[in-house]
Amino acid sequence: MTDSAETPTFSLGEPREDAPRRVILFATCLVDHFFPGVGEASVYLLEKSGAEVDFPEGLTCCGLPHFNNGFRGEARKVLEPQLALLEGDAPIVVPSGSCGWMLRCVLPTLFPDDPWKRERAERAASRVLELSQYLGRYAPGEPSVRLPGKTVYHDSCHLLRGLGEREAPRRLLGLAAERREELPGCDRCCGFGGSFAVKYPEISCAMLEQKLQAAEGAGADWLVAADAGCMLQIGGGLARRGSRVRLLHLAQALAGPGAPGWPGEPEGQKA
Amino acid sequence: MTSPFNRRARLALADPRLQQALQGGTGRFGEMRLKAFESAAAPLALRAKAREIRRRTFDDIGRHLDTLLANLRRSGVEVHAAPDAEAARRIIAGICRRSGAKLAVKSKSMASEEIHLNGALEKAGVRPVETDLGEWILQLAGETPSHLVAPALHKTLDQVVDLFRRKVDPGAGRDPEALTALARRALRQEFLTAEVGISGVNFAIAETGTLCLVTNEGNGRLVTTLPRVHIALMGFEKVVPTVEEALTLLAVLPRSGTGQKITSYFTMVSGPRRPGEADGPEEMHLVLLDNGRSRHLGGPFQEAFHCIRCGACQNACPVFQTVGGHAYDSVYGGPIGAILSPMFRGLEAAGEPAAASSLCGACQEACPVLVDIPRMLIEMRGARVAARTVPRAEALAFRAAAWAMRRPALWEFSFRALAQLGRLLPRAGRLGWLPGAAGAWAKGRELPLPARRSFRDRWRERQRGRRPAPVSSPAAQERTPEEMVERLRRQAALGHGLAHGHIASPPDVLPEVDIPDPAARFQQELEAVGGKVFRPASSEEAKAHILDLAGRWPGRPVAVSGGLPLPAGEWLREAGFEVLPPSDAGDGRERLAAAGLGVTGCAWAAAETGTLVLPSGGGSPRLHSLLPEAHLALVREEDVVPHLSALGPRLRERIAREGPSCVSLITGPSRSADIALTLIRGVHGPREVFALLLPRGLA
Repeated sequence: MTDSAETPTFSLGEPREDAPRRVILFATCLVDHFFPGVGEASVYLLEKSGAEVDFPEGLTCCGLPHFNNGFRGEARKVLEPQLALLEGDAPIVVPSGSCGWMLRCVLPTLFPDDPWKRERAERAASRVLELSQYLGRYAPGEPSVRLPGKTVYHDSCHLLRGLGEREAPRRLLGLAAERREELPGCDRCCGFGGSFAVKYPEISCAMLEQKLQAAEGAGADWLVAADAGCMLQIGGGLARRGSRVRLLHLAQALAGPGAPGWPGEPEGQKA
Repeated sequence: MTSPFNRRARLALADPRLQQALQGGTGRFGEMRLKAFESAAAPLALRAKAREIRRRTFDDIGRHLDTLLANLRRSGVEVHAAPDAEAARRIIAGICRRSGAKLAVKSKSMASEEIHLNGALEKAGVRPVETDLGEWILQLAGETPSHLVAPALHKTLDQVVDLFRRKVDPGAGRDPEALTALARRALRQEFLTAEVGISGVNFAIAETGTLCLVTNEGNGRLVTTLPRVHIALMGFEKVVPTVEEALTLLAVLPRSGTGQKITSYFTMVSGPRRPGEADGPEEMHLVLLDNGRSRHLGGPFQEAFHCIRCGACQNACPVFQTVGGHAYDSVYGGPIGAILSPMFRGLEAAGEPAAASSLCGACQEACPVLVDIPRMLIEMRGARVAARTVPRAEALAFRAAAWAMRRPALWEFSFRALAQLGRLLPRAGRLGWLPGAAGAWAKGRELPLPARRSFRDRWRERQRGRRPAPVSSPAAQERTPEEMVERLRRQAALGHGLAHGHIASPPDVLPEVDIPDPAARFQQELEAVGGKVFRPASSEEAKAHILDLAGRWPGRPVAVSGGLPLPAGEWLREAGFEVLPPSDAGDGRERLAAAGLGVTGCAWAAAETGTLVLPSGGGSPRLHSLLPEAHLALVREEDVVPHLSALGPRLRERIAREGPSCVSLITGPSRSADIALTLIRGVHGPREVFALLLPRGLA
């Protein structure tokens, strides 16, 4: 990660008066290990918005895979040691809708019998914001450098229905994209669903197929998602098809070409 | 990857006709649902209210059931308790045997599917005939329903045509209308001869002891009117405390199920035929079914009882859209089915569908009563883990991953190793031989490999030489008392467990659509569903309309109810029509079936939906609005109320005071879309519905 790309590509506008001075980035395990560029782009955007970014290295995974598969106790075990790292008053920013949902909505319910942990969990959860929610709130943004061509947005299920966020990513993307259009079936699941994708591969791929066809049918140049899970699934599908549609995380789309985290390095994308 | 669900899903995906039927069907239902809610004044508030009604009912379910049973018994209904499916089958077969029944007509009932009633009836020497068009098709085909409201959703028109040619009439045409007419003819005879009618129940209103059926075709009315004995079967979760609450649920059920504001018929049955009534069963039974339900009261799955069986979650579910209902191997398929089936049948037998979901939440978004299905899917997965019905390897993998995640250094190392290892296998993703999860992933997607330089690697490099960000104090953050109160509220709410979605409390008074001119709105709404309204200015004009309508079926008798606001019977007789008056013998049904027009009064009409309300009794046979080809209702303008909800107190009072055995809410002609989703008018009930709207002073 370097600061070489200081060419301002996306303008978030003047940081707001009440913008936090410091944020904690919960990078998520998928971003950390599969989409490091998304982490870099997130840091870039958060710093542009006027915040100092902290990434405590003890943060690993939000525990959603465990929780969603019925391993509630294991989810608790995963999150327990991380609670101390989430203390304080800084917003906790998550560049992934499903992990954001896990931390905001599920985390506070995991320790019903331990008032002390429960309170820590609740205090942490109340400060969790998904990246577009954070930027939407504290970095109003202004029209700036554009993603050339046509951009469509795929709603990740947990950001849309779990966190109830529909507008922020659309509004931000509208500022950064030359042309943003609605993707037909934008709120239809891409078929990832974590373990679902490997337990029921045929169904998962049939759902993916519809998403890819919709994006290609729309003549999109850029397909933007805001969840690392969707990116694994959709990215894997686009690569298998050799599709001309290119996949971006919202953070990368907003940071723009040339900014830190812009995809281009071949590594980490596919085998 | 060879789980039973996967095997069935594979079959479904390889069936192009099923795929065609599913895509067309679920998509259209979804669009119609969204459109139907546009006609509500405040769709979300309405759904929040419906949700609250269902939740509150379960706060005091025992009391509501006590009230229901007492009221039903008071009006002469025999109530039976069926702790399990076997008991329910035995009770129903026993009633049939005592009635000497050879033939039982059935209207659509998911509970009867749940207990596999038909086989038991056949063993008892009773021939069960399904009369819902979709169910009849499936009975002919020897199949089971694949959808809660459109049981034959999985069948294309071609398949239905083939089936009719093989089983009903070799010369059957290809037109859904002609096929429906064939069904009408075949089933009319069954209705007229069956000794027993078996129905389900949509809502059981406790305060009046009323069993409600929400139907479109008219078969539900025929099944509960013509046979001498009526048996209703329901799970105890169908209870609804009051008439008003049932009407609120009625406002969301058809909208969510079929995209209608209201179904053609809402039938409210409060007991067997009363003295002085012309028709209706002489004997009525309610079989109250447990079958695995009661063990879930007070547990994490109680919310599944809120389901009103509209099928909206099935239409919205991308998995259901892809594999159809039969992949779930249960009467109850789709998202809510993945909860209900294991609740009733156990985790071993029916647990897998809970895993076959991407947890996208489209089900809850579509649910009219906002049931938190995703939460329960996760709970059900937890129950499977606890019961050790998930593969050992899966449990091991999740436990190992959790163990590693608590050790960041180890966690990081494992990815580093994976990244290196993976790069020794060039293009591994394209090779189908990869084991387990990786192989399953690689079926349709490139296999991702961990990045060589993870985000934390890059972060460390960047932070080198920088001062670490200051650690802020964990001191209290609230700036205002309101913020503190907000946090207290949130923390108190945690006691209720996880809630998906964001559901606001409903307002005390639901907003209603503005209806400045009820009479005009009534006309507009009834005509929108295929009815026709006349507004005569004088009694001469009214007479002309009546004679003209009766004359459209030349040579056929006209059924005329008593107590009409105009002397329609006299006019018709003078004009030479054969008039069938109400008879309390109830034996004129063959003649009634031959009638062209049935003329009835109408207690009230609801403008919002174009609905006619016809209580039985007082010379008003139920069959007059049901058996003839067309139904004409004489409606006094002053009886038109603006909103459906305004009927609540009126209905309660009427049922309590006069005790009609049945009140029928009729909205337009009988209809069905069970054949290839083509809307057909006139299935089992009238093909046409007319109303004469009589101004004040005329009647």
